[in-house]
Amino acid sequence: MFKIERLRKIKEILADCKQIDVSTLSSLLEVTDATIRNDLEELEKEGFLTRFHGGATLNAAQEEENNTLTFTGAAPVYDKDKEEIGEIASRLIQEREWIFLGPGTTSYYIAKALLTRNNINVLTNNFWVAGVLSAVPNIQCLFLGGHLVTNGFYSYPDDISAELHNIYLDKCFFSVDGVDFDAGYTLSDLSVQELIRTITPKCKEIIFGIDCSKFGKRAFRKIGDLDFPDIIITNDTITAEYKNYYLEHQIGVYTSYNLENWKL
Amino acid sequence: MTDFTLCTRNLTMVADRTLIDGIHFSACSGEIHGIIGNNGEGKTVFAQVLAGLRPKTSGQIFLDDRELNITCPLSAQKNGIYMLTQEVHIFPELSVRDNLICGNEELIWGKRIFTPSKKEMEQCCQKILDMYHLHFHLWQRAGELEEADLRLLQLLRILICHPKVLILDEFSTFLNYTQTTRIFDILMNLKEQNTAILLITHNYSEIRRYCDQVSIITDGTITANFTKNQFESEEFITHITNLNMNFRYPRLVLSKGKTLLKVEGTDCPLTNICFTLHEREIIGITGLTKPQRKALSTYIVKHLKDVGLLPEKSSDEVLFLTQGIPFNITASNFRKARKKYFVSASKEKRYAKSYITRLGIHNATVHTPTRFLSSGNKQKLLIARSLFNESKLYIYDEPTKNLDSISRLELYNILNALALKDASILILSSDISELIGMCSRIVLFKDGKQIGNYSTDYLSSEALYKQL
Repeated sequence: MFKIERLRKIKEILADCKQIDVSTLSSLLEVTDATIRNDLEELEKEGFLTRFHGGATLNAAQEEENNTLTFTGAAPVYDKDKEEIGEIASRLIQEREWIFLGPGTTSYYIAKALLTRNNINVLTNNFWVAGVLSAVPNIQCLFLGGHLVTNGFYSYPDDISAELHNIYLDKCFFSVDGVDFDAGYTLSDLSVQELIRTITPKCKEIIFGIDCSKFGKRAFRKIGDLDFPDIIITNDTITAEYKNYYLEHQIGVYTSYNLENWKL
Repeated sequence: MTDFTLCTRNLTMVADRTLIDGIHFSACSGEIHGIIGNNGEGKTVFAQVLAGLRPKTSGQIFLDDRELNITCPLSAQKNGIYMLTQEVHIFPELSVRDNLICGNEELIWGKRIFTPSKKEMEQCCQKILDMYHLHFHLWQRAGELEEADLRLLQLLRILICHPKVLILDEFSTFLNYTQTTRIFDILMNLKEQNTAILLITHNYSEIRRYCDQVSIITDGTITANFTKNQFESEEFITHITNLNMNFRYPRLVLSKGKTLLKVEGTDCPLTNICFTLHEREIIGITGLTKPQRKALSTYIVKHLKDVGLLPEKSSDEVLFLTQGIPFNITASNFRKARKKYFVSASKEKRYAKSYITRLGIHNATVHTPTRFLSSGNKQKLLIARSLFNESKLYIYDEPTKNLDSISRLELYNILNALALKDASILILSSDISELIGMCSRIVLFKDGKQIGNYSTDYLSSEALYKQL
């Protein structure tokens, strides 16, 4: 197993159960006790945890941060598929570009993956994104005001076309609720649909980050046909028919590959 | 030889997928006809069907107005159609003379009861050598010859039968410039003798210099055809550049990490070599011949342990054909598949199962014998093997050969995933657009000498073609 992956797993496990002993971890991750001890030492230096004899406990500060973000309340429920999509999406963004991050948890993970980057300009109406990016000064974040849509954690301007007047972007990232051969891309939230319709003509590249669970499903209203976006980011488990369709229509397909799953 | 035309009508071949699809093609005698297209689009399959190496599913092949019934290589050869395959096939233990004659007796002398006398054989061989001004020692063991001479020997084996149609499948990939010109001299000679030559190639300059006609194969069908006087036209150039552009390569912006290895110095067989491998970086290398690629890989493996290797050799040579799929996948690291001190068969099988589904090895289960897999599946099996042993550096030599476009896309995404996990990847390929599409840097070689190290951010394939 790669080290980074292992550290992430340990973090995940520890965030769940707050306290764990070395032998449990080593049997869970199928590595030796010594390896685990090394990893824990590293994480301790990072300030993530505190070691004690035979185990480790989550730092109090860490616990706090995990549960609350500055002004968005609880962080979204952890989703590995979406995190991987976020990682890839962040790698599509080049320096000095202006991007739009749409509503949804996928954007939250894109923002998280962007934290280590410099010189990127983000326009968003997603509170999670704003919350994550508020922690770093190296990314310029412009927030689109409006009234608050509480169940989606985003804001929606009264007059969206006036708000976006004279604005042009390099890339926009959206997520949808359903992808289907007949229905195309579908969404259940009407205001998000309006947002997509207004923003996409202003972007050079339209990018959809859709995790594998959305494929073969339909939601309320159609946004566009299957060849609507320029680039699709998804998980590797989608069926070959979709990949074939995208290839034939010259839509870029980026899939995450969870190399770790191959270890049993 | 009198004039003739070779044409195909609706030629189709379906294996585990449609490999070529309704090809209408014609080639005239006394012409060099180039066939170009991306990897895995069906160039080689088309040639193999013509030469009887693979059976056609439907469609017809005509020589003038006569329909040919081609079912095996011999039936094609009897009609005068010969193919120089991409891999060198010779008998290393036999002499040059025997290599030239062996198996060709019937085609040279017709049906007869007795084998030709030694004198006859020697005369026949000498005649063909003199004809092309070549100097081989007839009694030398073929295994002692150099790479370029082996190619030549393989070609002579065909020329001795006086082919009407000669198909060459990317023969120049492993040869340097002088060796290639030497073979092209022979081909020009053959062209004057009214032979039809079909040339499958990646090399753009060869097309412009030698071909009279060019057909472009995309996804199993011929999509365009150009004659020599159209080579300067806008349309031809856009076709050539578009050829590889319609595939969208999933390229990521990778921030490179620590230096992994600096490839430089005098103990490497390649001159002027100097490039650095970083973590989280994909580097492309092009312009090397086969022995040079081997030398480079050997050099790197010597300096850096823990390398995942996908060799260029034909998959039959690197797979354990008598062993099952699980064995072949776990062969790169048996330690991972062991339980206590022994390799556990059930663990191997579980690994194999997950790789078969994840890499989309179609029509196969863990029980399928390796030798029955299609060439694309064999390639995937090799990729699975290289991935199984998690390494710091992966050297992939022509990774996309025999792969269809979906599998190519998957492979590229796997490469991205590996790079995101801090691995460094080296792609050796003759497909320049693939390198531009996936790599962050391209190291360019010519005649065993490094002539450039370019960042791909603002690089076009035309600019690279000009350098080669």
